[in-house]
Amino acid sequence: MARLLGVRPPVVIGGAFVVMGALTGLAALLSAVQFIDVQANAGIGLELSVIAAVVVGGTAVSGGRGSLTGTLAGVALLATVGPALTFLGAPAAWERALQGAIILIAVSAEGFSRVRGLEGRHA
Amino acid sequence: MPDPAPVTASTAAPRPSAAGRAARLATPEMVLVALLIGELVWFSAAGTNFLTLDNGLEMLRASTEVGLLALALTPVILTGGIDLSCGALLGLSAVVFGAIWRDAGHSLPVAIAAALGVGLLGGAINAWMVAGFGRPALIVTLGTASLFRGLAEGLTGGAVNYSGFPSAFLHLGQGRILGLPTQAWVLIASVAVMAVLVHAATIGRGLRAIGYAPEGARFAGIPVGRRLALVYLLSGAAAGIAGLVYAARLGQARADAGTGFELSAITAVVLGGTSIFGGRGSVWGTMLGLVALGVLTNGLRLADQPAELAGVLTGILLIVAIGVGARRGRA
Repeated sequence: MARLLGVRPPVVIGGAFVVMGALTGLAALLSAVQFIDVQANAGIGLELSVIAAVVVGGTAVSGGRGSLTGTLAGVALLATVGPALTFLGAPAAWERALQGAIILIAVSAEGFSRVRGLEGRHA
Repeated sequence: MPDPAPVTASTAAPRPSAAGRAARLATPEMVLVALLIGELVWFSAAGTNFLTLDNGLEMLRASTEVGLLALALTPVILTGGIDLSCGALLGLSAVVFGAIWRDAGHSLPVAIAAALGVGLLGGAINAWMVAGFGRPALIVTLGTASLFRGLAEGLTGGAVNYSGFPSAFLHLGQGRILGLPTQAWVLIASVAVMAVLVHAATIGRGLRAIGYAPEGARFAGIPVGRRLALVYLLSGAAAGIAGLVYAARLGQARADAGTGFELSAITAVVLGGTSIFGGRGSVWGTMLGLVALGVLTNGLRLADQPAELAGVLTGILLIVAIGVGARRGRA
């Protein structure tokens, strides 16, 4: 459908992946200057946190809807869970459980806001 | 996207031509068998003590937990879904087992029941969100993966390591029954259950139909919600069992138990020819994929190759498998 509107999907999709790679490189650079040593297993599991931040920020997993400001808010929300726990005097070990709960709430909330007719597709 | 070919029409399809039959022989399963033979030849020549019965049994022992997860993931992926939380759920059930047994001081059967219960409960949460609530499986299980792993970390404070389990329990992970590692019998039983479910029961055909077209399956009278709930519940149960096997094999339970196991399991499933889009796949393929992965990891170690090579080769294998699958899907 997008093709009929004059969009070239291969260029747009390919470009998105190139931008993704370039920004990953930039993130790697920022990570490298932050710590003393560089390890091969740096960033393991980070992709899951990243997807979580995007989804919490309101981007539809099925595509077609989303915003950069939302993603920024998602990053801020997930990143402040750890410091907030420390500030409240709760053990930091619960940080990931809380992040998971936030993701699940965000996913459920998306279900409420969508048009009923579009639902029922699970994949 | 897979061909939305109706499942029921296959019985009325014309017999395949000779060329069609040849193309059918180049299934992911056959490619895997060829690959497996290549691995066996290479490692027999390069490694010491590779082609021995004892090493084979140890391979089986080391592969059981990922095998259990992969078996349960096969019907999940068949429906076009995914369960990223099974590795984390394995860790949570192992930690709960340790906590109930040591911290709460309950008997072994109570602790085992609690671990299995945690697996079922975790599966139920996934089932409720995906099947009952219609949310995308990828994100739901991503969230529950974080939740389960986080609960395991919270319960242990990120530091406690449960160990010192009684020998009756350790037998599950370290002993042998009739010459085979004890947990191999669990795996064999699971293969039998899954093979019946996916290939012999009408439920299996329903799962494929859901994978091809959820809407179409619904119109065909398949209780889509109930079927989806079943596969996610099974995945949770498998994670619970795998958590017990893991704790018994290593003799310890920590919050990081089973980290990355879900990705190994998905790799085994996809390597075995199950389409990640759903609708196509087999339990046998998954088992072949599991063996191919297990032999690769074990063989490289015995051949004194760096462990990182296993990861690189697995990635290459996966890309090749997806390429083969895509070509088949277009044909």
